[in-house]
Amino acid sequence: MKTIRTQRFALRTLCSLLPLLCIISAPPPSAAREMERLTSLSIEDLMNIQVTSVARKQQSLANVAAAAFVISRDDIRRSGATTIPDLLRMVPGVHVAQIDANKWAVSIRGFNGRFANKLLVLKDGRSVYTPLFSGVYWESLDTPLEDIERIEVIRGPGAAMWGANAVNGVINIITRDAAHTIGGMISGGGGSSPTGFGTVRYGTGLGSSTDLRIFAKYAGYDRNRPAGAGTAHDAWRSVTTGFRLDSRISDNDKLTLQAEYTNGSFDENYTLYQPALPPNNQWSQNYTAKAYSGNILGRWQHTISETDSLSLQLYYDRYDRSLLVLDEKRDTLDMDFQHRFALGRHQDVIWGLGYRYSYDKLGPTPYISFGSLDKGTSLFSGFIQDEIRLVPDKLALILGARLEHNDFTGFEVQPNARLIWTPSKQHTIWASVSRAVRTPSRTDRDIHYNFRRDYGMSINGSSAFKSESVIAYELGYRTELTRQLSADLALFYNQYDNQRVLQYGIPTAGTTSYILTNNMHGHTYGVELSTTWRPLEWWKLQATYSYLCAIMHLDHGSTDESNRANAAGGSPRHQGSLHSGFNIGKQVELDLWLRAMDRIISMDSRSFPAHVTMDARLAWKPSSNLELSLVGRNLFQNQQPEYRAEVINTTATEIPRSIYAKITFKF
Amino acid sequence: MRYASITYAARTILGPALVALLLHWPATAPCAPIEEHQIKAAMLFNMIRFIDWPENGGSNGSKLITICIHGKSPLTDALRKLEGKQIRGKTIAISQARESANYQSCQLLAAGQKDHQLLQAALAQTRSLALLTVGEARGFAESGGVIGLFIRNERVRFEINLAAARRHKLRISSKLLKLADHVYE
Repeated sequence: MKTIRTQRFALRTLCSLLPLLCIISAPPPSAAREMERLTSLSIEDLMNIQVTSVARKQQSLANVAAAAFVISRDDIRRSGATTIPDLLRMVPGVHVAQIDANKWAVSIRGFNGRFANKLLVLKDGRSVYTPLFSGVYWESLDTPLEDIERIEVIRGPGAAMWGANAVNGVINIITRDAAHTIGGMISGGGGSSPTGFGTVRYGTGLGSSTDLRIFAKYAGYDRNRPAGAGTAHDAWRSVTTGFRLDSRISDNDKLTLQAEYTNGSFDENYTLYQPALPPNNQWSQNYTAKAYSGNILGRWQHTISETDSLSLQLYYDRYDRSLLVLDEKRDTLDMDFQHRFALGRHQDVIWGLGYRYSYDKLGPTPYISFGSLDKGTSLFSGFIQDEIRLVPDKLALILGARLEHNDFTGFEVQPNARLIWTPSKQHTIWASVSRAVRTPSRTDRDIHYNFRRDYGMSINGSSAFKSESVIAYELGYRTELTRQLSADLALFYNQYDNQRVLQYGIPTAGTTSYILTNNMHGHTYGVELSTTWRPLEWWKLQATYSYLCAIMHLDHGSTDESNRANAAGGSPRHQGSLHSGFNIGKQVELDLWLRAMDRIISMDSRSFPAHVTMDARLAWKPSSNLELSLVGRNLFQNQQPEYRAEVINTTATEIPRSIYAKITFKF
Repeated sequence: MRYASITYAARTILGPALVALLLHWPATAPCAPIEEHQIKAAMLFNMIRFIDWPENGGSNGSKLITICIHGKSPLTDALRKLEGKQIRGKTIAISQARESANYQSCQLLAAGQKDHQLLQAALAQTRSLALLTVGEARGFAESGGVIGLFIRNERVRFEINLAAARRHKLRISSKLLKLADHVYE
């Protein structure tokens, strides 16, 4: 439903914006005059007109009153990336860093870490962040990239629309309608890493209004390089199978049913501590983590009219992960309803209700245990948003709020206000103020982590842990100066309060206890810019730049300089990328993707140097159903450290230069 | 005084700049999204320029180009708005087809997505008639229809089945073939 929400949100914003874009044109013509105008256009012109329909409400996020970036299908194919986190490297304001071959730290506008917790990630409307630590298991998000229609990344709080955890942004992964993947596809390849991969997909129509896609995917990745001598232990492999069925039961009703099952195994290396273990009480332990996850989702979308629609979504998700330090099993059931309607001539209202039940069973180890080892939590939510066209065609105000009730902190209110001004059709200026919270995770409330068993040191959750909060002020400008040149600029100032740090607990003989508390506040500000320029029909350039400054302060009672330094210095201040896509004739594509990253000042007391690297992809399409490509990644370095893991001591490794070849055949 | 000078500066500097920006923008750029079937109907109307019916195909002697429509759908509603329009010296006529129709007097046969089965059934009867068959169900052109309309990236696209066109004795201009997303040989 969240996906639909995106679409609806985008649509509503679009619907209010698009008239604004038409300051030159007369009032809407009558149907007959409209047809008169349309028939006078050439076929080429007609092919360039964006369409809407009662049955199809999908629109791009290009014109919303938020800092949005869309990764298109073409961007995915031409990136050479084989995982979702690597794709996200193209988005301004997003910091992606690999910790080892199967672990990533991904965040928007700061606060990065393997367990980064201020981001909401949705796949086809299903939340994929875990209530265990409010983060995402990126390595288990292993859907075939060929099946993704687009990835929408919204920076800034999206909580009023999408709910808690959308503190610094929302990532929506939207897979393709089954009607668009009819026929067969086989793709596969391999190289230094991934060593081998393959996807088989088959789509078929079942009757005239129903389509089905089934797929299976395998990917195996080699280990990275160790920082020092020896070999790393971080190879991984993953198998995913699934289906998606889309049925247009009538002109006004669409039904989607989809399911996916993923099974992965991930090598990792831990540094563990135990008393009386010479020489320094620590040893290194290799382990292979296993993860199984499956989900099934159904969605019904009903269109009443151009402005009125309903949708209902239900999903069930289950996963089972076993790490050396903890086992986690979780079942989630989620229901979501929403209704959109026009209120008078100048208002568009969308409201919805949701309920989620999440039940976990944790398997403790000597390292990590929880106060209660199984727990079910309920989340009730309701939201409403009203878009008011203050000056038709010029200025619109969007007011919205979400009210949620969770088992840890009770009611949470997350409001926002947005203003969009469209002085002319190629310029859009928007501003927003919003409040969002990150509600406590199981970890925040309940964990008992013996992180230095040799010294009897432990980290403990606290029942007093509150929600972390942000108030964000954003300003944006978007322009499409010409059909060849467009730019998007976003500025933000975020005020954070009640951020998580440690403070000393009550000492007992021989042990030191740290307690998770909300004793940090601070602010961040920054600028993000992306520009797309097509100097020639066959050449596209896309440049992005992000600047981030984070300043954090410990409140009275905490001396946790380490977590303060991570929050303030765990993301680079400057990031930039330049992607150049050439079409050489109709058959050859050459893509060069240059990325620059500023140094990381402090990630668990370590700094990482600034670096520039490049990916390159060369593809040959001898016919419309065959594509051969060769991809080289991280070409400028033999190996590059990007990050390290916080909290859990898995060994960070360095990303080697890699190369792989791929063949895609459609039939 | 100060206010006056600011507005003067704004007028002299911003005014021309805005005008320049506005002028630069291609005037044909569409505004609000348009209902897809309107575009599809307008496109079909334009395609008539690029398609030749055979001498004895019925259209030659008549002053009409008859679009036969099956069922009722947004596409057929949009096509009805073409009635009476002139193209290539002929006038568009719309005729609601019955299931038992003989399609002798039709130059174009179309049905919307939900009447796809009606259209498929009609295809079997019309195999050798000089008739342009148009559908919007997925896979229509691939399964023997002449022109299949569909949406991709929020734009109307089409595919052409050239073998079917030949069977229906239609000649399709290479210009139209070039614009098609896919041509089935």
